[in-house]
Order: sequence, then structure tokens, then C-alpha cells
Amino acid sequence: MTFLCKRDELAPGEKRAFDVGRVRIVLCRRGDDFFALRDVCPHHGANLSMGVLTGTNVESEVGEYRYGRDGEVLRCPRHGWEIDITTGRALHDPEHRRVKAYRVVQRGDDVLVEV
Amino acid sequence: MIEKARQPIADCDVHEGMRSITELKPYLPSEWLMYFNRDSLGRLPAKHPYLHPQGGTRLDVIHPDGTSDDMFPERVREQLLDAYGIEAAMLVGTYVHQFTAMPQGKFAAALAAAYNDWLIERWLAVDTRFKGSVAVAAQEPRLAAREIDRVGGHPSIVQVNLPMPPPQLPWGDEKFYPIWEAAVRNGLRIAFHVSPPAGLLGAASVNGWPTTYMELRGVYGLQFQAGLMSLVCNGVFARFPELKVVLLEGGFSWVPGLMWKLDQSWGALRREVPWLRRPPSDYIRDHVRFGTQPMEEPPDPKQLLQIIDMLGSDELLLFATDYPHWDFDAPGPALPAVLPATLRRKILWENARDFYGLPAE
Repeated sequence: MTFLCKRDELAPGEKRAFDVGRVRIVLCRRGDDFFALRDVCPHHGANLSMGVLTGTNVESEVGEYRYGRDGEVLRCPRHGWEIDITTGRALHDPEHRRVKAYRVVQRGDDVLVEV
Repeated sequence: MIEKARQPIADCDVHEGMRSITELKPYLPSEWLMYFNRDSLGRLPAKHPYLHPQGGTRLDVIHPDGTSDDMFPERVREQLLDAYGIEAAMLVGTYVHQFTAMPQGKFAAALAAAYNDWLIERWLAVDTRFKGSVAVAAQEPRLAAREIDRVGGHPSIVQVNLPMPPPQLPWGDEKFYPIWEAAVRNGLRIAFHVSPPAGLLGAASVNGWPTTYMELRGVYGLQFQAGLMSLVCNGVFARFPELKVVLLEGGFSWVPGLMWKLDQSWGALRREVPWLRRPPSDYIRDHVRFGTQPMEEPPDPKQLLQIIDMLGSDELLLFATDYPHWDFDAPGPALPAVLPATLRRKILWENARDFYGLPAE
């Protein structure tokens, strides 16, 4: 396990890039939970940490818009691919397009990642 | 010499002829005869604004008196159905697409109803191989739906006949829902056929008005691209899972590129169309078919196989002749020898059989 930061160093709704050895990851906080992904978009390789941690328009009836999943979607800074921070899977093609997700552990005030 | 095919053929684009729009007069309620006056008749329905250098009909079916074989069901039966072994000929009409171009929509709806009665009496009664398409005035969607309900149960009627481009609003607009609902309710397909950019159906292209017929013929494919994207992105197929459509006379070589573009855009812009549950290309493969005429003719015929491979399915193409028009495709010459027998059979018959639910041969 590798220490990343103290809990309070990353507020809910924030994200930040870390170098863990030779691996660059992006750590995201949703409420009291932390999630870590490889910081590389599975599309063209942009750093996801440069994107937006947000929600999105979730599946809806034709012609209607419904916002949801606030704080669970990391949107790539280039083509706008939406990545589910809890799984690393792309929302539009979860079976085939994904980025590696790493296990995050909170130990006291410390946030650690297993890479 | 016409070589008779060795297998059944479905021809998905046949234009039954009409000597004059006045043939519809006996089928119209009295209240509409006011428009059959000397001044109006020559402009009925909205006219094709483009002139063809040779005329739109094959010269070899035109008679000295100005009539042509397509105006006579018995001649079409002999010249097309019997000659080529065509078991199902989808009749998509003359004039009918321009009904949707008429600003006087209620009269247009009455004309469409008259056309359908004429079609049933004059054509569908002659031979069960003639399959009918419901004429509608799509600018009046509720009247169109009522008409689909009125005649859609006829055993030889297989689809609803609509023009591409649409009347003013794109086909994905909610305004047209009653038409899709009625088609599904009656178990009918939708045939979109190229239409002259007349009346409500103008302008000819997003670049304005081409100045040659040659350009107009190329623009047709662009109209279909725009129309297909509208149907997919606005969720018509997501909203109506049973709706099936065929695009006639707009080509198909552009379809792989359109699928790729839409799928790529979906990755980036999914939240704008959150009602799409699957990649846009999936909806196209599940809901859309393409007529082959005018056949794509790459310099190396083998490239046709590459295009079909790129479509991701060999079930999307339906053979069509466009009889009696000038760019008629005969089954033999239109399908190059490089097409394997199984694929040829699918294009000529099986794909249409499955799409329309025709009886097995």
C-alpha cells in the first residue's frame, strides 16, 4: 500500500493526480469515499485528472433529461468520455472500454492505494 | 434477352404509373373537387423543380402516344414480375411523395386516401405479388395515422410511404410520432424514398439549390444521412422498438462512415442523447435497411464486399430496380459476380423476406 494523502487534503468532489512509482493515478473523493484510477483515458490517453469530476444525464425516456450520479463521473478533458470512478468503466461502452481502477484504503486519517 | 433468375426476387422499389392525377378524381369526396379546376390541375401536386436531360422514365417503356408500360399493371406483371422472377414488388408510387409537399395539408390527405383506394383497386387486386405502400400526407401526422389505420390492414399492404427529405421538420421530431405509432400498430414498415425538393420538402440541400440534375442525384444520399441521424439521435428507434424502416434510392456506401461517426460522437456526447441505450450503429443495424438501387459501382467490384463487411451485417441490403425509371437496375447486371451466392440470395430475396415478413418461398 502506498500513502497518498491525508483525508482532509482532498475535499468531497475534488480530484488530484499522484505519481505512485512509475504509475500516475487520479484520486477522486465522493463524500467520504475515495476512488483511484489510472490517470489515462482509455480513448486517446489524456490525463483524466485534467478533466471534470461531475455527474451526468443518466438514462432517461426519449426527449427527457435527468441529471444523476453527481460526483461519480470523471469526464475526460479532451473528447468528453465519461468514466465511472467506482469501476473505471466508460459509461457509453462499459463492457469494452475501461481504465484500470485501484483499491483505496483509509487507515485513520491516511488515504492509501494498492498499485 | 432477359435471363430469368433462378431464385425468388423481391424488388423493393417499383413505381406504379398513373396517366394523370385526374385518375384520382373518382375516389375523392365532393368537397375536394373544387381544386380540380383548370388553373389548379396543372400544379397538382407540387412539381419536381429539376429537369432531367433525358426524362425520368426509361425510353424503352414509353409508347408513341405518351403513355408508358408502368401505367398498366398487366404490362408491369409481364415485363418485370414474370420476366425476372420477382415474387414481391413493393409499389412506392408516382406523385405520392409530393402529397407531403403540399401546404394545403388536408386536401393532400384526401388525395393520399384517394390514391390508396386507386392503388388497391387498380394494382393490388391484379396480382398478389404487387405489395402496396400507404400514401399519406405526413405534414398532417394525425390524418396520416388515421389513413394508415384505414387501409393498413389490407393483406397486400406492407409499409407506409414517406419522402426524404421531410416536410419542414426533421423526421426525428415528436410531431411525427402518430405515424410511427400507426405503422407499428398495423404491423407495417416505413419506406423512405427520395423525393423531389418541392413545396414543403425544399430546399434541395444544406448548401442551397444545386444547378444540375447530376448534383441533385448526389444530394439524395446527403438527405438520407441527415434523415437517418435525426431518427437515431432523437430516439425514434429507442421509443418505437418495433419500428423498421427502409431507405430507398439514397445509396449505402456512406453508411459505414455514418455509423462510425455516430458511435464516436456517442462516446463524447452521450449525455446529450441519454435515451440511447446502445451505440447508434446498433440501432441502425436493428431497425434500418437500404435499397440497392442505384447500385454502388466501385471501380473494383470486390470493394462492394468490403463495404458490406464494414456495415457489420449482410442483412441490411434489399434489392431494388426502380422500375420504370431511367436508372433501372436489372437483377443480373446490378449485382456483380464477385458477390458470393449466399450473399446474392440474401440481397435478392431473404433480407426482404425477413424485413417484410413475406412468406417463405
